Amino acid sequence: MKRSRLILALATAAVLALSLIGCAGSQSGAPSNVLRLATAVDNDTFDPAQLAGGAKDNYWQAVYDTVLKLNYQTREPEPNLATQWSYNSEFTELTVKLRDDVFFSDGSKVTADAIKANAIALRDSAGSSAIMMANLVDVKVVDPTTAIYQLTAPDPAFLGYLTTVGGAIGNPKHLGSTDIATFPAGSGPYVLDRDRTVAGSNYVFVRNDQYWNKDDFPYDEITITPIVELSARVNALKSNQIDGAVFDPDARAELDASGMNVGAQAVDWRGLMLVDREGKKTPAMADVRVRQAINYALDKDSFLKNIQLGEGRATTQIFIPDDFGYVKALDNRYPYDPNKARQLLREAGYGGGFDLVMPAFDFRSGVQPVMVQQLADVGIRVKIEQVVPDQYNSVMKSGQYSAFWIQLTSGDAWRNVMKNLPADATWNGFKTETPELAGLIRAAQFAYGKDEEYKAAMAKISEYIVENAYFAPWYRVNSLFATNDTFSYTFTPWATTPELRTYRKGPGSQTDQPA
Amino acid sequence: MVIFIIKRLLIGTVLLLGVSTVTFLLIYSGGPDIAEQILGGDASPEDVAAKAAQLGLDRPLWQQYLSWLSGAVRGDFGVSWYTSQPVLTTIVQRLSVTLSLVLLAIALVTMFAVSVGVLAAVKRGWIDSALQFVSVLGLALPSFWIALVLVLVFAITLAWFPATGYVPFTASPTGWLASVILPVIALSIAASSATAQQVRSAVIGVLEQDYVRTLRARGLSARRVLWGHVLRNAAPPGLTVLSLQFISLVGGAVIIERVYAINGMGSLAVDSTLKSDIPIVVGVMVTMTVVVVVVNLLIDIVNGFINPKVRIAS
Repeated sequence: MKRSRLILALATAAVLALSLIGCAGSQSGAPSNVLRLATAVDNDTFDPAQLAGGAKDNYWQAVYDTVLKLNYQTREPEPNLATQWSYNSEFTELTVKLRDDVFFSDGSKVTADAIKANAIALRDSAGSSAIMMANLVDVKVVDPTTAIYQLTAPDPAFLGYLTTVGGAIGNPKHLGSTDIATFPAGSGPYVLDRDRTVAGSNYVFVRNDQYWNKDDFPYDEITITPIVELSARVNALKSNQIDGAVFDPDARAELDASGMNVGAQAVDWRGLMLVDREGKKTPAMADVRVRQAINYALDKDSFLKNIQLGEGRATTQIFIPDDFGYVKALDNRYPYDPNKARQLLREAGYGGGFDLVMPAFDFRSGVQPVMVQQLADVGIRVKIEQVVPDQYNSVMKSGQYSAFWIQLTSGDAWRNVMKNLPADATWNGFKTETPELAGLIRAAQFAYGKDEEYKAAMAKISEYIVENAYFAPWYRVNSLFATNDTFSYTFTPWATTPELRTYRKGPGSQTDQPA
Repeated sequence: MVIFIIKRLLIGTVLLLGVSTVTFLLIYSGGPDIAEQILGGDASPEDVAAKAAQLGLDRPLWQQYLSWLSGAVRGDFGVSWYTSQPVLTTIVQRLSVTLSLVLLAIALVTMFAVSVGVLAAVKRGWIDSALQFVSVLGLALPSFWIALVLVLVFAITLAWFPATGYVPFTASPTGWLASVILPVIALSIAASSATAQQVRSAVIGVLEQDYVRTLRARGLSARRVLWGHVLRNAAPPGLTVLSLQFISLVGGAVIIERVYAINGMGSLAVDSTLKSDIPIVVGVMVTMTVVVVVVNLLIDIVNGFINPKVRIAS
């Protein structure tokens, strides 16, 4: 009796174990035609007026259409909801002609009224992307398929905004309501499966059967799982629980060794902002030779190699390759040359050095003491002050420090200009402005639409700020993305994660984008 | 006993009020920087000010506190500043995940610690020595390392269990079990080692009492002495250790949750603190305090039922 009980217990345990293993197997095996992604950050909101770009793009891309979409090769806008678009001669009115066969998930039609409602909601929101509609005066609805964006002045980044968060169109019936933050209402290729989604843990999107452009989205279902921990994302990809995710440079070797399809694209730059260009706080900083000396004093290649494991490219400019404003020759403007730095300081009358107060920035990499030492080697005595990490950005923007470390997204070139250079720019804490730079910015703004002229004008801005050492960038930093052999992908310009429509079934071979 | 329970409930309520007030005052005084944190680095000062006003951060702190407290006593802890989800909904979702891990881990710890601890105390000799060695080893190995090794062997190499994620029990009972087995083992090892040692010491302490010798002298069987008298008297310290382990597992599950990408209370606490999602942080603190109060109360009640001396003392 005792023996038969034992056998029964063992048999039950064996069946349970086998069913568990089978269950694990069914989870890790790739379901057919489902794209399973992981992100490093959770989604905050589906409210179109509060959306943030960057790492959270894939969440809203599943459920919202954009007015235009980006051609990855040319970096020019292409038709999407809008089939045609044109500016007036002053580039202050953008007329868009919409498709008439696009419907929101509740069956109502996407019309020019929806375009207007979304643009106004974004402009008037306190969301992180409201800046995209900062120049918007109004949207004029001509007829159900024609809308005119009316701008205060030419905005060279505006068409680009319409390919991303600035052009995401939610159902106007739900805009402003609290439920749209958790239950998206759009016309996108997928709808959120509310029953299977657990906010913060797993988001399930199922195909919108009415979608007008299914060819761009060949998968029946998409799941997006926020996985904060890098090692957990690596394990999830290696064990075939997900098909793709964004990674840090630390994971490159392991992903390569596991045969994953790894690619990199540089989107952000890291380095110093030298914002006290009139010497209000640190008189020495008013002299361009001092700011140039700081650029010469720092060994950018060494930082890149030792801190960033070589994932990126040393630079002296804030613009990224293939974008307006990027001038390849400028990348070598300030090679590591401590002697040149000392000479410039002597010429500026600071041969004995000077004191520079900077905020503590090194929250994990270990580069801060190296930077302090290299500046000390040429005579710049850096005193580090502690700043609460989550108050870092606001303190830096307040004009409290003459120079500080930063990591910023380069993004669209014009947006990059506007957030860094004008007197009222977010990152111009000391509100410095020179007539010459203001003239260059204005020239670029009004050269918009004339490609060669605009390109040349943006290059002049870049040359001006590099020559006048407005910043001391160290390197453009790579963002890594990897998939298993089920899906391939294409990098989206200015973004750390590929757009949803770029994934294709089948193995691919991804190469790093030029950094 | 009833008076005892009422007393403990009153103390718990005062504790709850104190913890929530201190938490609120400490972290809400961050002010408009929280708005800046939410909007990101590129936000203009005007947008930051507008966001701060939208969140009510421009009001005096006492007004913010009273507003929060009046909602909290009605069970409304507000909404997340990032996701707009009600705090209570988020916490209930996350707490159920962590509790399922921790309850399973505590069950495992109890089974292991009681059986091995009692065995070592009763048999002594090499079994006792082996327990000492295994316990020290279990305490010395970091839980994140154990977790990573388990993933590497059982999830990636053997593919027996999923490497990451959590399957709700309601979605699939077997899927749930498969998703929690590795994290539960990783959670249990250090706790089992510590608890087994405590149980062993408690049982040895009781075995050395005069009344145990008397019971043996009266001719009671060893099994009856052990189950009827020794374990009853050794239970209070054992249960106290288990309750402490439970509380420490709930609070300390964050590392295991991170390794296995399980979004429980630990991850919620860390993530919401890092991004200054203050309503969630305060909600988590209040919830953890409730868990501590409830667990302590339950342990006192269980102790009272097992051991009459506790009932009389209370």
